[in-house]
Amino acid sequence: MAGVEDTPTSGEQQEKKPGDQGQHINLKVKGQDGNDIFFRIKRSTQLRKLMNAYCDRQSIDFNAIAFLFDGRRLRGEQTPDELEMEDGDEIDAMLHQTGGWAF
Amino acid sequence: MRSLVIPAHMQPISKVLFQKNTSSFHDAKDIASANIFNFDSGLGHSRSITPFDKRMRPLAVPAQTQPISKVPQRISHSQSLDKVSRSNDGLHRNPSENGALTGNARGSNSVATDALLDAAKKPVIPSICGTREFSNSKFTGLDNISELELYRSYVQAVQGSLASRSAGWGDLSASLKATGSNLQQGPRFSFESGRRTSSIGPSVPGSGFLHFDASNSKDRQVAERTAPSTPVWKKLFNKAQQINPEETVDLEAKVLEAQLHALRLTKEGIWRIAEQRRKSELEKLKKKDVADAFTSLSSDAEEAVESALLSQQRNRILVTHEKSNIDITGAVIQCLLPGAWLNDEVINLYMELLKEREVREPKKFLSCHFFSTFFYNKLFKDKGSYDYKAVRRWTTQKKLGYNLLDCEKILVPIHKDIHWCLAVINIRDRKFEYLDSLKGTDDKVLQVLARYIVDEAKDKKGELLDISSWEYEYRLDIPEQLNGCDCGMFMVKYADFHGRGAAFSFTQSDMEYFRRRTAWEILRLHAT
Repeated sequence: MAGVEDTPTSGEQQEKKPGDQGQHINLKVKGQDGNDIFFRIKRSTQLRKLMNAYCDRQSIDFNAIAFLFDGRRLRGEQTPDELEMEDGDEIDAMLHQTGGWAF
Repeated sequence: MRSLVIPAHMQPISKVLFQKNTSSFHDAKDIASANIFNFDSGLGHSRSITPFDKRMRPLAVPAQTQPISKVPQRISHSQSLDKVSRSNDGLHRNPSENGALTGNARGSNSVATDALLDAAKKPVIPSICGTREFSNSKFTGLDNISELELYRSYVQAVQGSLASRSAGWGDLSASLKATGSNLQQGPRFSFESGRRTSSIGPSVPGSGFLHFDASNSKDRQVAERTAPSTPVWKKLFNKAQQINPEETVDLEAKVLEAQLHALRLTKEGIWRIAEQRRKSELEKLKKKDVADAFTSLSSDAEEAVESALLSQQRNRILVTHEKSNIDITGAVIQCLLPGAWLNDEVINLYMELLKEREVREPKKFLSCHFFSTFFYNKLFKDKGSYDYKAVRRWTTQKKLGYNLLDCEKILVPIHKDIHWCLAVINIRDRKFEYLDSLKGTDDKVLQVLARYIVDEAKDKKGELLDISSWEYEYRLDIPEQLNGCDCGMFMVKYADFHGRGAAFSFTQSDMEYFRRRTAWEILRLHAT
């Protein structure tokens, strides 16, 4: 999991190495259950790593989740730089939906 | 009595009337005749004192008796002492000629009239009025200055009425203002008090003003008969009068009547019109050609759909929509097989295609914003409480390329665990709609969306959006789902037809076709 450092929901940050402030970014992944997981990731790292880390941590199938940034679907190949993400930005992890009827 | 100086057209009518009443009790001491006298003096009240009045005012001051202490005021309001004297002379000399002279008018202020006469006949003035000499002659009682005043005021009146005519409906206030000044100016020419009783100022513009005119022309005839010579200003004066004031006034009256009519349109009336408009729009909707929505697929298309839906490679990506980053795999598109439940990816992608369709053909389709199926989850459902911040950044101008509030309709898919519904923020028709193919209702959804659109207007436009008059509509007049699987397809088609601005002219039996059609549109990433 090089490049991705995830921390518990308490939001504790792992020790920052001096000098990497500009290269890294703190992102929060919000689940639908209200649990937030914080990630620290290089700005140039593909978000796929973050997504996989989240799914691993939550024990969910990667394909069961849609990650949204400001309402837009995220692709694994995208990077924080590309999306002009800022420190502290939130990513929404949404379970896919289906429906056909109501009782 | 200071307030009397306030022109009537600047006061509420009721207030003017009230003042008339009070003044009449003071003035006439005769309650029985108070009303008639009211109009008389009320008219005076309705005028502001011009410099000219002020100049003339001292003339009237020598009203001798206490009971008529208000007389000076009245005279000053009536603009010209000369006219006062003239008309009062007329009254006394030849009352029969003055057909409209009523007993009331005379009776109510006979004391006042005498006082006026006395005041008028007093040959004091030079110190105040300058060079002229007072004459007993009926007409020459008007000095040059006052005649010029008259002429000017007449020109003003005509200009005013012309202005009001041209102003028409568009500029109500300007027109009313012009009329107000007309009503003020008018009586300068007609001081036959009997006529004046018929006018109660701007509140009854039509009849009152026409009456003025009748007395105007009579007055003019008298003036012409008696004028000893025709100086240049007199010629001009006569010329100006040849512009048929009756015609002008007729027009004026018509315009005013129309304006009154417009003003009487209460909120209810406006609503009725809105209702009619809506109905006619609905008619238009029905007539709208929706043949496009039912064109049959070519055999090639059918084949492509067939193979996609029956794809053995469920994980193979069949198509990718770059803009929305949605991949459609074999597994995903299979939700369009008959009997399957639609998933968010097919719906979200289809909504994207509907938006692209509209951008491609803005004249054919309404400007809509299609929210993703996750929007309502973030706004309300997941937390169970309203959370505007969670979606605030979803709709920035930069992200959308347009302002959400500029759209005619905002369509919001609502995922109810295993059921799909559609909510619409219908900005164009000022209402919130909830469309459930099973005809269910959900008060919360529309309340939340109402709150959202207000917050959105505040956040993105800095505007206070007033939705107090917006309707909340749970549509029951929509095609109904008759099975346990097509709600997603119904929801998508509600959105499609909303975008077309067309009536929902489909039924359950069209769903099979719509599923294949949607699959085809998704496969080629092009909705029509």
